[in-house]
Amino acid sequence: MILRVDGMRFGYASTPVLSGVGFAVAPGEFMAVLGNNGAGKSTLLKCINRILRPNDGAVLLDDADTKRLGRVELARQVGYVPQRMESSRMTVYDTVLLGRRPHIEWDAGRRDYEVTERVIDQLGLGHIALRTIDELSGGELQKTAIARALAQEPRVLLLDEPTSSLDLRNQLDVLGTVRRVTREHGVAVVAVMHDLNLALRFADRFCFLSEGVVHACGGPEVVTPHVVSAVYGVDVAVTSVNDVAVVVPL
Amino acid sequence: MSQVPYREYYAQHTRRKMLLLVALVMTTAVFAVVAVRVGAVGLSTGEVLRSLVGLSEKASSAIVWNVRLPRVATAVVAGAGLAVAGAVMQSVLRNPLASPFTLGISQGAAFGAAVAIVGLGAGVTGSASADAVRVMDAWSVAGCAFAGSMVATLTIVAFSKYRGVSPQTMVLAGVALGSLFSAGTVLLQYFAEDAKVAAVVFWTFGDLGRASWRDVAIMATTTVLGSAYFMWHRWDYNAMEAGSESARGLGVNVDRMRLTGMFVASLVTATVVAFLGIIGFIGLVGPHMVRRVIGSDHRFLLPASVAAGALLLLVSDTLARVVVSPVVLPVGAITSLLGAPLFLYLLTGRGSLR
Repeated sequence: MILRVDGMRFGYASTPVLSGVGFAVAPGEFMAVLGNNGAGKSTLLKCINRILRPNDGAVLLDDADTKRLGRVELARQVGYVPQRMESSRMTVYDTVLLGRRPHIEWDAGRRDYEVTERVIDQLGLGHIALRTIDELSGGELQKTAIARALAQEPRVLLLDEPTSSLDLRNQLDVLGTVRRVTREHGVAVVAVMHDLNLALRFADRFCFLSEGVVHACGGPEVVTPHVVSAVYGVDVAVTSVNDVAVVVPL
Repeated sequence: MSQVPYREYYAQHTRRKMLLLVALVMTTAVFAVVAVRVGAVGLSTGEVLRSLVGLSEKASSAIVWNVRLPRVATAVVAGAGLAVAGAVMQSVLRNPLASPFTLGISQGAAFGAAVAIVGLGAGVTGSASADAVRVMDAWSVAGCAFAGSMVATLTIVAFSKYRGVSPQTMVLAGVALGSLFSAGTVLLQYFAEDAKVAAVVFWTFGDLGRASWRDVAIMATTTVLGSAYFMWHRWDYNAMEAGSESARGLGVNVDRMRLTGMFVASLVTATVVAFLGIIGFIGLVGPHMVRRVIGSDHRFLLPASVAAGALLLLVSDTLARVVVSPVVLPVGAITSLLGAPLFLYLLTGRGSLR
C-alpha cells in the first residue's frame, strides 16, 4: 500500500466533519470517494495533503508518517487538484510548469521543461499552451489544473471533483487520460466524485462517506442499491448496459 | 491530437519578455543621463560623462555629484523599491488595490513625521515661500516616520497572526489603521502652530531632493536586499497566483509567505517613505502596468517592476524639476498626473504582450 489513512478526525470548531476515517490505496489504483454534499469528502482530501491540519489520525506514505515531512517534501509525493483554481494572467504553460515548483531549487531546469511539455501533450493542451488561464473555458481550466498536478510527478494524486465542469466527452477523455497515466506510473489516485456512473467506469475502489465515517469501502461489489440508498437516501437500481455498470435512480 | 509548435511559441514568448526587460533597463539608464543633464544649469552629455569619471572642471562636477546625481540615484532606488514592494503586496494579499496607501503604511509614516515635527519639535523655519518651510532635524523626522509605518505594519501582521491570516483581514486591518493614523495626524495638526502644520503638510508631499548620499545608500541597501528576498520566492508568488489551496498543494507555506512578504515589502516602503515623504501611485500602478504588458509571472514581473518603478519616478521627478523651472513641483503629484492616464490607456487592453 502506498497511501494509508488511519483514524482521521477533523472538525471545524465543535462541529465534527470527519470522525475516524481510514482506508488504504495501492500504487496504480483509482479510488473514488463518494457521498452526500457535506459528508466530508473535500475535507478528507485536504487533511491528507495537510492543507487542513487533522485533529487526530495519521497519513502514511509507504508506511512513513507524513507528519515528519516538510510541505515541499510532501508536495513532491502528493499532487492535489482543488475544486476551484483561481484564474490569473499566467499562461497554461507556466501554470503547468508551476507543478515543478516542489522540485525546483533556484530555477527550472531542462528536465522541468521536459516534464511540463510531456504532460501538456498527454492532456492535449498544446493548442492553448500560450493562452492565459483567465481566458480559458471551465473545462480547459480543469484540465490545466490536472496537468499541473501531474507535472509534480506525484506518487499519490488527490482530485477534488475533477470533472465537475467538463462536458460528457471531456469527462471521459480526462478521466481516461488520468487513468492511463497513473496506471503507467503506478500513481495512486483518490478522487472525490459525484457522478456514480463515472466512478463505476473508471475507479477500482469505492469509498462511501456518510456523516464523517466510512460507510462502505471496497471494489465494485460494494456499489449496491442498499449502500447507495443508505448513503444518498435515494432508491436506485444497479444494472449494466453493454457490460458497463450503471446506477439508475428509481 | 493536433501538433501545435507551442514549444517554439513559448521560447519566443520568453525571449520577448526578456527583451522587454532589457529595453526597460536600458531606457532607465538613458533617461538617468538625461535627468542628470537637465535642470537650472544645462549640461552636455559629454560634461556629465566627464564629471562621472572625474575629468570635468570643478563647477559642473559639483553640480553633477552634489545636486543631480544624488537626486537621480534617489529616484532610481526609491522608484524601484516602491514598485517592487507594491507588486509583492498585491501578490501576497491577492488584491489589486494593495499598496502602502491602502494598508496604512503611508499614513503611519505621516503620523510619525507629524509627531516628530509637532510633538518633538524637530524644528521649522517659517517664511512666505513654501520652499522655506523645511524640516530642520531630518533624521528624527525620518526615524519617527519609519517607526510610524513599522508600527502600522507590525500591527497588521500581529493582528493577522492572531485572527488567522487571510488577505481580507490584512487589507481591512490596514484600512482601519490608515484612518486611525490619519485621525491622529489631523488632531496633531489642529493643535499645532501654523508653521509646523505647513511643515507636516510639506513633508507629506514627498520630495526627492531631501536625500543625501548616506540616505541613498540606506534606501539602496533595503531595496536590494528586499528585491533579492522577493526574487528568491518568485516561484512561491507564482504558486499563490493560483489560489492559496493550490499553492499549499504545491508545497508553499502560504501563511508564512504572506506575513514575511508583507513585512519585507513594508520595510522597503517604510525606508523610502521615511527619507522622502509620501510618493503615491508608483507602488500601486507601477506593478499593474508591468502586469498588463508582461503578465503575472513573477520571474519577469518582479525585475520589470523594479525597472519600471525606477523609470516612472525618474521621468516624474525630471518633469517636476523642469516644467516650471526653477520651481520644483511635488513629485507625488506628477507621478499621478503622468501615470493615471497612461494606466487608463493600458486598461483598455492595447499594448498587451501577455
